[in-house]
Amino acid sequence: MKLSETLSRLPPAIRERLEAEPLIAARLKEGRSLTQTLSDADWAREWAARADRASVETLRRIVAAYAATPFEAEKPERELASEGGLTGAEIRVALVRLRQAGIVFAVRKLWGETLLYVPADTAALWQQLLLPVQSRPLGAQEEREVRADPREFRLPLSLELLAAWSGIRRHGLPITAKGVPHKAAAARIASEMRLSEADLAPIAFALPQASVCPLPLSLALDLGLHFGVLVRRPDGFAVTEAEGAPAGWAGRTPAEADRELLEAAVCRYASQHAPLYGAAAALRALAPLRWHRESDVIAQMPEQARGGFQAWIGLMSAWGWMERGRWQAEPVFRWNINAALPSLSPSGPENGPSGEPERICVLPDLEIMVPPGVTLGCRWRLEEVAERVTADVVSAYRLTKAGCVAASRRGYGLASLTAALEELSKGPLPDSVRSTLADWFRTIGRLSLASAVLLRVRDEELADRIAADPQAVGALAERLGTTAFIVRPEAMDDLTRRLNELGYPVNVDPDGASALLGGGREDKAGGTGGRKTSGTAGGNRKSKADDAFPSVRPEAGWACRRYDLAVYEPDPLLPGRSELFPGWDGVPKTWLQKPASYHPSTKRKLIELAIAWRTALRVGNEGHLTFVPERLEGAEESWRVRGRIIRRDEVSSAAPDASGGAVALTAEECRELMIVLPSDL
Amino acid sequence: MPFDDSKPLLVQSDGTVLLDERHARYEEAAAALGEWAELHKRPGQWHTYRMTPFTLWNAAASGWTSEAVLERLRSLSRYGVPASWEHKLRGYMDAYGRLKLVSDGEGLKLLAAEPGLLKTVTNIGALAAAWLKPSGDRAIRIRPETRGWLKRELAAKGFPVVDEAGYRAGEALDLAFRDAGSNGKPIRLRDYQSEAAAAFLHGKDGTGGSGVVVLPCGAGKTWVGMAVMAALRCETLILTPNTVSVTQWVRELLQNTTLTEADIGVYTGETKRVRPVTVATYQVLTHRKAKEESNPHWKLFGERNWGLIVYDEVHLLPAPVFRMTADLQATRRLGLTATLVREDGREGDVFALIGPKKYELPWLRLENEGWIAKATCRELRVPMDETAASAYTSAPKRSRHRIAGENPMKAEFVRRLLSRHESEPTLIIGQYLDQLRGIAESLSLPVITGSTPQPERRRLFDRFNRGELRALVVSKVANFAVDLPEASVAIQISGSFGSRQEEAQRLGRILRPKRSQAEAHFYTLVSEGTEEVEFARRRQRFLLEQGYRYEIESYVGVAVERKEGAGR
Repeated sequence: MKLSETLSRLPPAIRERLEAEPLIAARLKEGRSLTQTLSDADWAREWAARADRASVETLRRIVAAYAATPFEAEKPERELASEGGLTGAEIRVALVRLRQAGIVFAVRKLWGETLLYVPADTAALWQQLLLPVQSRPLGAQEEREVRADPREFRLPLSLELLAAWSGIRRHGLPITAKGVPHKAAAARIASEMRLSEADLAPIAFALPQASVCPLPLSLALDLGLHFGVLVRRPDGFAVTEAEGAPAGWAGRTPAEADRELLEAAVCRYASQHAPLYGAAAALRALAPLRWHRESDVIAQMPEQARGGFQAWIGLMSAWGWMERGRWQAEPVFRWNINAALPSLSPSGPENGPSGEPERICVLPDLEIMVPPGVTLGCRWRLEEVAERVTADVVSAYRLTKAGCVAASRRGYGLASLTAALEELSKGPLPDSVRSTLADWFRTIGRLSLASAVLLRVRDEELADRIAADPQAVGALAERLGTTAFIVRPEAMDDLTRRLNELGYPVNVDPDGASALLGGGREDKAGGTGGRKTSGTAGGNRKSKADDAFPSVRPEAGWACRRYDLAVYEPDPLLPGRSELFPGWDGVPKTWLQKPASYHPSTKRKLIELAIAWRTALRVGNEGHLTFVPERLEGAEESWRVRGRIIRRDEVSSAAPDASGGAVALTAEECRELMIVLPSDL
Repeated sequence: MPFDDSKPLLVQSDGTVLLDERHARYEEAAAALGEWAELHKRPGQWHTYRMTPFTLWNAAASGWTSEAVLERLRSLSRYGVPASWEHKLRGYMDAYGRLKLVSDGEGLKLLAAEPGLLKTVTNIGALAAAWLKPSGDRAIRIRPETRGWLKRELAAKGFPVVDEAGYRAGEALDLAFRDAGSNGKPIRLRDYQSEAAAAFLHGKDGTGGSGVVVLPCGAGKTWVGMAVMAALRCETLILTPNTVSVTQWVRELLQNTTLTEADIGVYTGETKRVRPVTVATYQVLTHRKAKEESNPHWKLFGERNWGLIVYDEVHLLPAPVFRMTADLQATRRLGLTATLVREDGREGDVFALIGPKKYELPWLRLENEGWIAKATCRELRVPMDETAASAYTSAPKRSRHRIAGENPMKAEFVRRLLSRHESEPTLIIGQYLDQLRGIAESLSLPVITGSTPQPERRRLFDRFNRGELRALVVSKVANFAVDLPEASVAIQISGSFGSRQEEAQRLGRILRPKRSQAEAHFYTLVSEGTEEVEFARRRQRFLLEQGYRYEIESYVGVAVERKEGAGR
C-alpha cells in the first residue's frame, strides 16, 4: 500500500499524534502536506540523524528483510534480533517509535493480529538512505569496450502500452460471461505488443493467469485501469479519453510516462515480493546511461535483494528501460531512463535543451516522423488518423486514405485533420500532403447512414395539410419528397398526439420501429466523469449498467494482490509499556534501576523475566557487562544462564565461547543484576 | 531523457538512420553516411538512410572498421546507437575479410581467418560441390568453376568473401580517348568521373578490378565506362538494358575514343556482330526459344577473350545474367548504376558477383556543381468533359485507367504548356499510341514509338538535339537511356499504373544541364476525379522521396476550350 492511501485511512488519533511529532509539525507549518512530508528525503535524513540507534537499526533490518511486504508484529523480534546488537525488547520498542514517526504503519486483521508495513513508495527511500549502493560506473574508455547483448530492440513500456490501449480503442475488448477478455480479441491486441509471456515471468504472480488473458495484455489492462486510462464496463474494457488523449497522459513524453510507470511497477508488482523490491530499490540509486558491473552492484545490495536482481533487470530490459552487455566477459548493465526515486530526484521536464517536448514532422511523402520526445497525447491522436508503420527509437506513421476514412469516423474532416496535424507539427503541412488530403476528403465523409423516424403519408394533399399545421410542423425535421417527413425523435409523442387530434391516428411499423427508435441515438456522454470512452464491444453506446459501475479507486487494476492491506482496518492503537512488557507494573522498580545483589532465587526470577521480555541484563561481578539471557539451565540453586554478551564495560571473568558473545554464567558469576529496558517511549 | 540536439542523426534499431538536412552538421553527417549507408529517400528535410550487410561490407571493402563506424555514428547520434544495432553492425562488418579467395600455382583456395570459421562454412551442406581438398586447417581448395557461385552463396549466408584471386588480362586492344569530341572541344573527364574510374581500377586498398560505380542519372556513367576501358586497353563486352542504349554506347565510343566501326560490334535481337568491343542487350542474352532450352546467346561470353565486362544499369541486370556472371569471375567487371537498390532485392548478388561499391557520388553534389539541371515537378489536374466522365464511370474497372489516361481534354493542356514554354525543347511522353498519334497530328509534331525504325528514331533525336524540332512526341521507348541533352520540358500525358521507376526515368530525360542554365520542368497530366490521381500519387512518391518538390495545379471548374481534332 502506498503512503497516500495509508494516510487517507489513518485513524484520527494516530494522525493527530503523527502531526504533532516535532519534525513533522515543523514541515506541516511550512505548508507541506503530510504525504509530502513523510516521503521527503530531507525529512527522512533528519529523522535518521536524530533517532536512537535501535530505531534506525531496526528500520534498516526491516527494509533489508521485508522491503515493502507486510509482516507480523512479532516477526522482526523473532527473526532479526538473532543478528546480534539488538535485543527483542529494543526491536519491539523501535517498532512503536517507527510507527510514531510515520515510517511504519499497522493494520489489524479480524482476529486481532497486527500486520506492519513500510509503504510501497517510501520503503525504497529508506533502503537507499540506510542501505546505499555505491557502485562505481565504468569509465569512458571502459564503456567503449562494452558489448551490448544481442537482443532485439525493445520499445519503452509507455509505447507498448499506448499500442495496446490504441488497439482497445480501435477494435474493442469485450469480456465473456465469465468476466475475462474475449480470447480472439485479447490475442489480437496482445499481438500489437512486442512483450512476451516470458518477459513478464518475474511478475507473473501479480497478473491474472496466462490462460485467462495473455500476460502482456494483462499488464496493459492492469496499468490502464490503475492510471484511469481504461475502465472496465459490463460489456468490456474501454478507453477513457479526455481532450483526445488517454486520460491524464496527454502532456507526458514517453520518458516522463516511463518514470511514472516504473514507480507504479515497483509499488504494484515488486512490492509484493521482497527480493524483487529490494533489487528494484537498490538499482534506482544508479544514474542513467552509465554502465555498471553486475557483480559490483550485487555485492552491495542487501542479501535478500540479491535474489531478485536478475529477475528485475531482466524485466527492466524487456521494458526497454535497461540494456545489458558484457565488459571483458563480465556482465554489465545500464539504465536507459532516469530511474531515480522521485523524492531524491524531483521530476523535471525530460525534454531537449529547449525544454519543449519534441514535435512530429509531416513529410511530403505522407509519412509522419515521431521523435522519441513527442508526447503521448500527440501519438494518441496520430493513432486515430494515421497508420503506424514503425515503432522504434523514432516512430513513423503514414497518412493513407484508409486512415483518413477511420479519422472521418472519429469525427475528423479535412479542415480539422489538417488543423490537428499542423498543431501537432507546429507548422504548415507540405503542399503535397495538403493536396492529397483534399483529394481524399473529396469523397470521404460525404455520405453517412443514419436511422430516422419517418412519417409516411398516404397522399400528397394530406402531407401538405400536415406541413401547414403550426403544431405538427414543429415536430418535423425535414420533408422527403411529397409524402414523407423525418420526425424529430424527441417530438414523436407530441406529433402522434397532434395527428390524433387532427383525426389521423398513427400506425407504427413494427419492423422499422426498433431500428428507428432504438438504434440511432449516439451516446455523447459515455464513460465516467464526463470523459469520452471508446472501445468495448458496444462501441460508444451507453447502457444503464454503466451508470452503476463503481468509480476507480486508487488501488484499482487487474493485478492479483498477494497482500491487499486495504481489506484490513488500520490499527488505531499504539502499544504502551505494559503491552510491550507484560507484568511491568508489578515488577519492583529497583530491578530496573541499578544492578544490585539478590538472593539466587530472586536472581533467577529476574533472569526469567528478562528472557520473557527478550531484553538484556546488566550483570556485575568484577566488572559490568550487558548480557542477553536466552536459556536457564539447572536446578533451583545451581543454575546457569546461557546468552550473549552485547556490551562489556570493564574486565569480566566471564569469557565468551567461540561462537562470539555466547556465554554461560553461573549464579555466582551474576553477583549483581539489573533488567535493562529501552528508554521511555 | 535529455538529448543532445547538437547531433543530427537518429539511429534506429534496424540500421535505418534519419538525417535532418537543416542541421548545422548535415554535410558532415551526410558525407559519413555516404560511406556506410545507402540513401533510401529524402522527402522534405528528413533524409532516410539504411545500413545493410551490403552497405557495411562495401564500407569494410573501403577500409572502414566496425569500431570506426560505431565511433563516428555515436559522435553524430542524438539518442545514441541502439545496442541491438551495435551488435549487428559489428557482426556484419567484422565478418568482412575473414574469408579470402586467392590463387596460387595449383588453383583457387579459400582462406579463413581461423579454423573454426573454415569448419563452419565447409559444413554448409549446400556448398559441398565447391570443395576440393583442405590445405591446412585454415584453407581449402575449391573448384575454379564455382568461384562466383560460392561467393554468392556465402554472401547470402552472411559470409562475404574478399576475392583476391586476380583477373585475366584479356586480349589487348589499342584504345584511347580522342583529343577532341564531336563538337571539336577537347575531351576532358569531369573530376568525379576520373575519381570513379580510378576508384574502380585501384580501389582504396589497392584491390581494384571489380565493383560498382554509382552515379545519378545524367552524371555521365558512359564516360566512366570509357575511361576504364581506355585504362585497361582490353577487349570489352558491354551489356545494356535495351537497343537504344546499345546505339548510344556505340555512338559515344565512336565519337570519343579511337575505336572505329570495325572494332565495335552490336549483339541484339536484330544484329549479331561480335567485335573486340561488343555492346549487347540483357534481353538478347536471356532469350531462348523454349524454357527447357539452354541459352543460345551465352556463348557470347566465351566467344572472345574479354578482359572487361561492363554492366550498364546494373540494378536492372536480370537473374539469368547473374547466373552467367557467376562463371565469369576471372574477368574484370564494372557495374554502372544510379542506385544499388533493386526492386527484386538482389543487392547481395550485385555485391558478390559484380563486386563491392567502388564509388558513389551524392546527387546533391552533382546539382550543386551544376552537372545536372534543377527540376520542378508539377501535376496538372485536367477535368473530363461529360462524355468522357460518363464513359469512365460506366466502364468496367479494367478499362478505366485507359479512359482516364486518354482524356481528350489533355490535348488542350499540352497545347497550353507548349505555349508556356515556347522556346524550350519539349518531350511529350505517353503510354497509349492512339493518343500519342492524335496529339502529334493535332500539333504537327513527329512521333516516335516502338515501331519507328532505328534510323528514323536516330534522325529525329538528332534533329531535336540540334534544335530543329520544337518538340517530340514519344512512347515509352524514351523511358530508357535516350540521350536528349537539350530537352528541358517533359509533359507526361499518360503512364503505367504506378511504376516509380518509370516516373524517375522520364524525369531523368530532362536532367542534363542546359546550355542556357535553364531549369527543367516536368509535368504530369492527370484526369481529375479518376483513379489516375491515385496512381500518379504513387509514382510521385518516389520523386518526393528523392527530394523533388511536387506542385499541383487544378483546372477543375476552369473553362477549357477543346480544339477539334486534338486527342483521340
